[in-house]
Amino acid sequence: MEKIVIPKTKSSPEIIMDYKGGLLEIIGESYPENSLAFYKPVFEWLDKCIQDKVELKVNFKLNYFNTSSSKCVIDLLDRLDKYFANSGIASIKWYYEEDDDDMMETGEEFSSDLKVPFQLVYY
Amino acid sequence: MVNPEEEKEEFFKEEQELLNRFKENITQNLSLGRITEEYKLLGSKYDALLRQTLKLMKIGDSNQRRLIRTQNELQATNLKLELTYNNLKSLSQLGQTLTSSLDTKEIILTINKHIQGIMDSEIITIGMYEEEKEIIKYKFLVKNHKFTPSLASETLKEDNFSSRCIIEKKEIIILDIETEYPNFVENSQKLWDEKLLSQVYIPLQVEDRVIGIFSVQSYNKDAYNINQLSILRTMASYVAIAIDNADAYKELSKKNKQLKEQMEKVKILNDKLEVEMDKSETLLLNILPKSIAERLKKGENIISDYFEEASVLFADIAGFTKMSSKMSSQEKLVDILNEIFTNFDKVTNKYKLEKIKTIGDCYMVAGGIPVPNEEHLIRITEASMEMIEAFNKIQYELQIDIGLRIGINAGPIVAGVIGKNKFVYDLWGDTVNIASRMESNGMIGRVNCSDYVFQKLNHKYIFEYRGELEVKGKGPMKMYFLEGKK
Repeated sequence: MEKIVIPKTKSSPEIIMDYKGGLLEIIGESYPENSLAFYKPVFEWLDKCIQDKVELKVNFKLNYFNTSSSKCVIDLLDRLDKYFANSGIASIKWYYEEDDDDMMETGEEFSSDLKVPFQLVYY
Repeated sequence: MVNPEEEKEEFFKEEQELLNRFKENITQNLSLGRITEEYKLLGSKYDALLRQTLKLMKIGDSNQRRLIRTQNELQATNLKLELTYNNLKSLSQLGQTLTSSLDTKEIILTINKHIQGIMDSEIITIGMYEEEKEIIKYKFLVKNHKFTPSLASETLKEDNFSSRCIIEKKEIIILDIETEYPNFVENSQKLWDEKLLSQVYIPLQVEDRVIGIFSVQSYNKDAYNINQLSILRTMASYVAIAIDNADAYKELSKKNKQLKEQMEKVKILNDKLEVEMDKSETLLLNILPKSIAERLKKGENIISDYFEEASVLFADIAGFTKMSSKMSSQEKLVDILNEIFTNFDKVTNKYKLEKIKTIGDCYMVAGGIPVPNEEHLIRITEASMEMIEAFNKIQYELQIDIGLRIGINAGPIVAGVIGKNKFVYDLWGDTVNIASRMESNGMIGRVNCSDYVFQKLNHKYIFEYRGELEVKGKGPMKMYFLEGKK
């Protein structure tokens, strides 16, 4: 499966899906008109990886996202958590700007109740 | 836009399916065990949903806080921008006021007005750099917001903030004099007050020339931040332009005044010259006919014009020489001659004749020169009779023993001016000599005319033929006394 890159737009983040390296990156701002439709390919890719037991690394580097995007992120994380619970290998990194306490807090909220490794990283 | 109902179904697909199944099941008669199972399933989903909702709420909140923070930051930035804009606006207004004022005191007072409220300014001063004397004179000082006359000055020969500022063409910014002065000078010296802890000196430059220093000082430490310093720099550049303009204006005014004075002098001289010119013009016209004077002025050196026909009259006062030897006062004699000739002049002018000269007691006049005129002989004849009349009148009044002899001739003549000094318009030719002979061969109280005159005027005037008289160098010549008009 080839590496898929969805370029960023004004309202949607850049998404990199590298099946070989098991890498998923979501970078930028996320407030597309239809979040579910926008993230649908990501879910499909993730399901395929989970099915194939790929070792997954997921990086979030988001500056801003709307509520429906956060629902999608929660669903992604839940799916990863379930995969991890079923002995799949996955790790998540949540990047935030150094003095952006709110974004760090948001990361903490996302990670609460999760078992899958979740790391907060500032840049 | 996505339909909200559809969106809900999409977002919570699993939950929705479960709920629908549950609603369906509950209407059917299911076993208690089965219902319990369904409830459990629904419960766990509900639990997960609650958890997610809580998460979303919290995330939503923190997102909102973030937005509010960004908004606040933006507002602060906007305020700052607005302030900067206002500062810039007031600076550019200040610039307009400053650059249009031509008086340093006015300049410094305008700055004082603008600077208050923007920054500390217990001292505002403008120092003028006098290059020749190597000093900076701080004549203009606003201390505690009041214009204060000042005699302070600093010399370039010493190490001080002002000399550094001028010599190095660099601004000096001191925000705590106690600790910072060694960075600039060896000894801290305070020109205006011990307590001035912050001092800013900015050189006033116009192109490459340093014309002075603009300084603002405060009793507080760290009184000036980056923005305020940049405002001061802008002010300094306006001040430099304004002062340079003022200097140029002063210089211009001075020059203008000098020029006016010079023009005044020139005007007086011109007026005098004009009077002198008028005088010499009058004199010249007394000596020379107008047309001849014009030609000489235009550069002709020698004038000699040939006239085919002109008339000449000589009037001699007989007995004058004899009388003059008897007269006690020479002045009286000249007075008499003057009166006679003045009357002759009147007659000459009346008949538009040209007075040539007087030789002693002899008066010489010509007609038909320098402007030819057909009537010249008639005019000179009429004049001769009036001259005799005028003379007789004077003689009668003064009761003196003198007589008047007049001779007239006409013919071709050369008239002109020769020589460079004491030039005079003169006549040459045989016609002139004969006229003179007519006079010398005449009689007192009579006008003696040549044959030429008789031939020309016989039809209009009455003549008395005298016969042929011997003329020296000419032989016998016909002569006629003029009797009067026909």
